[in-house]
Amino acid sequence: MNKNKEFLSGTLNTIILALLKEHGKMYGYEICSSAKEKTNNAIILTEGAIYPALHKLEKKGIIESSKQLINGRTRKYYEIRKAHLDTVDEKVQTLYDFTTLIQALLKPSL
Amino acid sequence: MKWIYNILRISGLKNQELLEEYFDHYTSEYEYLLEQGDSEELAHSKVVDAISKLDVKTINFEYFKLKHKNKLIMSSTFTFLFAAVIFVFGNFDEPPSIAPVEMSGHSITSGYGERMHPTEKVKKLHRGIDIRGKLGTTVMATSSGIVKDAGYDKLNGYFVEIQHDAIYTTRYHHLSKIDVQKDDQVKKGEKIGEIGSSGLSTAPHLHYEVLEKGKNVDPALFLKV
Repeated sequence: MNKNKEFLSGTLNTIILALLKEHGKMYGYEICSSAKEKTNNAIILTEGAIYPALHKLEKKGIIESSKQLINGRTRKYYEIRKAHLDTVDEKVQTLYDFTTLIQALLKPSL
Repeated sequence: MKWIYNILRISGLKNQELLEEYFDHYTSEYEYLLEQGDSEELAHSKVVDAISKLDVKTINFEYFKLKHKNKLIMSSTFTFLFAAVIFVFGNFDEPPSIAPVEMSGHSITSGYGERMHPTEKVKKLHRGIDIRGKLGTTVMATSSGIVKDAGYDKLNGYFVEIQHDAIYTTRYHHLSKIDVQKDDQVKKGEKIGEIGSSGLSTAPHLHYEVLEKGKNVDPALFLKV
């Protein structure tokens, strides 16, 4: 169903961090729908993968969470800790460069 | 949207915080689907379907690793714990996950909850669901387990009760024929009897109950539509 799955496993953290960097505070569902929107439904971050990943990033201290009561239910928001904003930039840039390299590799040479 | 919470709780998610987060997730999805113009029924079935695809075992395991990471690394019993976790999680039986009869051509004629009792004419909690079916239709075990009880009584007619794991038990009433005995092992989908009208019943149907830790819950939550 989701044929991009195998390529996503190594990059999920960086994708999440890039989205958080762009939007500031986000909750899980918002991260999923924002990835869907940006890629026209081509890349689907599944809820089964995203929440454990968020919790790991929080445990590592890269992001922090806060809770809000919305329509009678608790919503958990995540944001990047200030101290880590630069490392996140670096990470995103590294992945970006990497994808450019992969493109060069995959393109048949003339 | 209490039903979303209930389905998630039953799915076996162990961590309360994660449960609440998934509750918010699927409720948001449900609200989004309604906004997009889906009927409540369609949105409901889409959400139920999405939750059923959630790999709860892996999530629980990931979470366990996360929580105990530092301890695990430091401890020399790492391998032991790891094996214990595999053992514990590997032995978790699935909750009942199929319909007790082939649902094509059969309909649920009475759902779970309070209703006027058809023969006693008083309001009573209906502890299960009734599925109308022809006399002799195969009734199957909805998950693997051990037959806790099988026999006859005036009220329930020929009945079978199956214990699936520490949490789940299912009951099948008003059968015309029983194919299993007490203490038999049964596999998911195995025939345990046939639809009938024995006991206090007016027409051939299967009365099916699901119990979670001894308490009745709505079996419809476990039927894959």
